[in-house]
Amino acid sequence: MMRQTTSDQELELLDSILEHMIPASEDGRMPGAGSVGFWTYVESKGEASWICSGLALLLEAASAEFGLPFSQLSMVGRTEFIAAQRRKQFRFFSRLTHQVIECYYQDARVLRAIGLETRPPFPDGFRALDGDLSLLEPVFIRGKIYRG
Amino acid sequence: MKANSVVSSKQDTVDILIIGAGASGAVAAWNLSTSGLSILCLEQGGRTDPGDYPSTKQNWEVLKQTVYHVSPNVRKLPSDYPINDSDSPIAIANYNAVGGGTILYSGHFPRFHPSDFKVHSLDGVADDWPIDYSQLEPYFEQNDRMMGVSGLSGDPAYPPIEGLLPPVPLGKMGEKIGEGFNKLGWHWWPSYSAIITRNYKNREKCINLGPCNMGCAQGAKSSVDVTYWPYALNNGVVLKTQCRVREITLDTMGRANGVIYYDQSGMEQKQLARMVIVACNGVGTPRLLLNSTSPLFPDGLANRSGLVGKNLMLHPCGYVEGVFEEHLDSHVGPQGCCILGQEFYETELSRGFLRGYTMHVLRGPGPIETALSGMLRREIPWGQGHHSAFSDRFGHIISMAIITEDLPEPHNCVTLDPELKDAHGIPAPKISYRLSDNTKAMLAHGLNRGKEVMLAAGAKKTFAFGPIRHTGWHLMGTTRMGRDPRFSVVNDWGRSHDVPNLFIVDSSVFVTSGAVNPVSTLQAVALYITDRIKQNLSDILGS
Repeated sequence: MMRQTTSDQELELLDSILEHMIPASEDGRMPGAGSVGFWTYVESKGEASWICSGLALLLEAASAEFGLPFSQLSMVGRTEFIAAQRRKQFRFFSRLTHQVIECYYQDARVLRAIGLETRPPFPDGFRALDGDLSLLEPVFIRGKIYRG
Repeated sequence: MKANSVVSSKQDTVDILIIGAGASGAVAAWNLSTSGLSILCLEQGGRTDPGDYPSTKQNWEVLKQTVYHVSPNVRKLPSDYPINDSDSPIAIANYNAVGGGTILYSGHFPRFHPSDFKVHSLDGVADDWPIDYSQLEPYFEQNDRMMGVSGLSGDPAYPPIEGLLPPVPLGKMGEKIGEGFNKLGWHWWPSYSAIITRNYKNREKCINLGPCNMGCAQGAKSSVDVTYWPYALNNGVVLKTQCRVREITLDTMGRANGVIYYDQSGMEQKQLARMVIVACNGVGTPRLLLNSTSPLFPDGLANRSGLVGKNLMLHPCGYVEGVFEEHLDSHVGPQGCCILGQEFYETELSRGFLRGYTMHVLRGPGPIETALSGMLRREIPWGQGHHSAFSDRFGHIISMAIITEDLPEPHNCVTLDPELKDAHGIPAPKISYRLSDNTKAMLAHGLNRGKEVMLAAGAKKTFAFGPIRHTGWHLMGTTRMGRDPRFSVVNDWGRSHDVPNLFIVDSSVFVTSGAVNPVSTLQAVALYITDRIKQNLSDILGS
């Protein structure tokens, strides 16, 4: 049976992964992926259970490798462990990354920081530069290029 | 859901039954709607609600991956049927609803070239069409008026095309890539776009929502649910939705006399008709014919030639991307319409392949797709470097599709899958497709030329690959037209050689594929066929 809830240790591991993936920018303009409500997002999408299971496996791997729970690893140890697991658990991390990116680039603070308005495209739409059609002059002057 | 009753009665007989309410079915319904005959259209999908389209929602990019995905195998909506495309490098894309594929198409609307109808005469390959550009020209014009098409007259790659609305905005990115084409002395031109840039026929103009290929909430994209269908319905055509046709039936004389279909509740129904017109696209049409077996047609209806399902053409597509130093606002504007380049459209033997391709310039991706593709290619890293790498790409990307002309080959085909079935138990189509050496050479040429033009425009980095898997929108050739019944399924006006009151009006009838998006041409062909039907009603229907 798929798990629907997550433990404190798993959430701590997830926070660590998120901060490694997309940390807050040094200038403070961009939030980190750990502060955009990722867990709420995946729960609302029904994507939480496989993430719980994956995190549980990672915690087991940390214990097996270091003889310590992940939470007791040093910052350097955590970084090395996550980097190694990204290679070993490629599919899990690939799928997780997809969900994180979806969530992160819908966050209002992120959208504002990259110059976008926090609204759907409709009904206001967007303005686009018409462009300079005189650039076509050499194409036109060259004349017919079709056959038949 | 299995049938448990069949309902029919003589008074239910309609004069014309159209199967499919997409790009060609809508044309047929409208053009025949002034004939005074009773017309019924059965569509397996429902009506879409523009208020639900992704562009009305903040998470529009996410919806592209789920309910608005181009593949029916991913969407799995009740209106969809599964397609086994595991034996093809190109996955089939479609949309099943009133409007069909035009709901999700980008609206890129170039016509076939005159040479596309004379492939054998000009280049010694494949076959000529039994009709030509000049015969279709009035229908292209009529179709442009009905649909609402923008663009620019004077394109040297085409015979004169008039009456267009002003072109969609080039944007900074269009200017940029146009300069690149100019440096190389190559053809380019603003896209012919089935997008209205001025208010037109009670529809409001484009406001650059962006994701046209997920439905246009504004109604500015010319999908047939907002162009042909309102007029057809006003003229009395009856449209029944969520009705999936299982098979076309015959009378004792071997004439089509109706269909068996499943209605909204899953009940099996029989609909009688004096004429049947199939408009289910290059996969759905052969699937229906192959599922319509009888003692007269044990290998599928109208298939005495053995060509139903054969010669599938898909336009293998390549993808080219350039990343530019400047912010080009490239994510702003109609996603699939900007400019097209046809420098390499016509045959030039020195290139090492016959026929050619279109360079179809696309807008840059939204933020989610920018990040996902950048991370997939390891150009946007994890860690502190993520933000600057993202910033270097978002709004800085120009994309280009290379649309190649694939030639008809019998082994590229649609058959019935022996095991896979849809929700009604109807055998699903199976796709078998391989790229020919000619197409591979053309694709490689296009990818290289695409990178060349990106660099000429000033790209600091380029990327190219092909074929792209989820691009099998252009479904052509599987019930080809021709004058010789041995080598074609329908005649030069879409009439089955084997069943005189059965017609096909979709791009299944294409003899060759050209190298442009086919909707403009398939709709012109549908207008042409249905005009011929109107001229020959007494012959087709009898007394």
